[in-house]
Amino acid sequence: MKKYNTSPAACNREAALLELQQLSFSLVDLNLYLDTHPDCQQGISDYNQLFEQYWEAKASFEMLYGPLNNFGHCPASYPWSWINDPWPWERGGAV
Amino acid sequence: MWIYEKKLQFPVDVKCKDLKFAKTLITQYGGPAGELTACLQYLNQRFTMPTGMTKALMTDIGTEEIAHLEIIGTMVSQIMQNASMCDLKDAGLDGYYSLHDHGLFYTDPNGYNWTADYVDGLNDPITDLTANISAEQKAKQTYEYLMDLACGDESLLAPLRFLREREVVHYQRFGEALESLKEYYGQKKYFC
Repeated sequence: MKKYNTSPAACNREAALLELQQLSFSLVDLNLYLDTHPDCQQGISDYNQLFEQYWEAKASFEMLYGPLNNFGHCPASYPWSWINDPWPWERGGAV
Repeated sequence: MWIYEKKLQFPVDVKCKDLKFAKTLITQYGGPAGELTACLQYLNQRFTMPTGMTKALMTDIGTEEIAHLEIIGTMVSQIMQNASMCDLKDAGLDGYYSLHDHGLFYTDPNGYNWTADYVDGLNDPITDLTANISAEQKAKQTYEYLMDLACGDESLLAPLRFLREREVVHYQRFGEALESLKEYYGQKKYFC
């Protein structure tokens, strides 16, 4: 069993996942900010701009590396790939 | 309901094998001021929050805390993964091993298992928000102690810095929500 997968596909997956983590973190942080600043127009506009980027990045990630949610976010391919490794707490999946 | 996303909120790739650090880190998993306590505390308080802002904030911060619990679990798990029996004994984790093998459990470094007694919830919104501000400050302090113990290991420090910073942001948001509630109830009634 390889501890670290350093193949180009795995490295690309890491880079794509990192981009997704950065975008979704920006959205979560803005989400909390907007909870207590619901009238901030700049915040809403930033949110909407990041939302577009996030969905684009998420869709292309899921097309290449499988679904990030167990249902409802992208069409399922055959065979059911939700059960595939790696999981986030495992090496190679956590990053 | 909740939706699970198959990714960590912040990347974790722990290089070190410092089992003594894993033993201290577990306080943020199942200790008094840990992520599990925070998560269950905020989600539980939602049921008596009076305004849209406070209901949303308890839901959203409570949900983010589950993601933090997963980050801590991942860090502890990666350090413990291939530890030998001798290493576990040297780190004082033989008792832990006899109950949980190399796995995770909701416990603290001193072997006290997680209990609902850690959770604050008087269900008075002003009291609960004040407790949450205190909880975030305690968690921030705990992360600072853990960063002292991380001995400069960047693979530990990066996620710890991220988690510490989130406590600061949550503290800020809870403070804003508390101010909004004082306004909501009428400032004169409260002396805080």
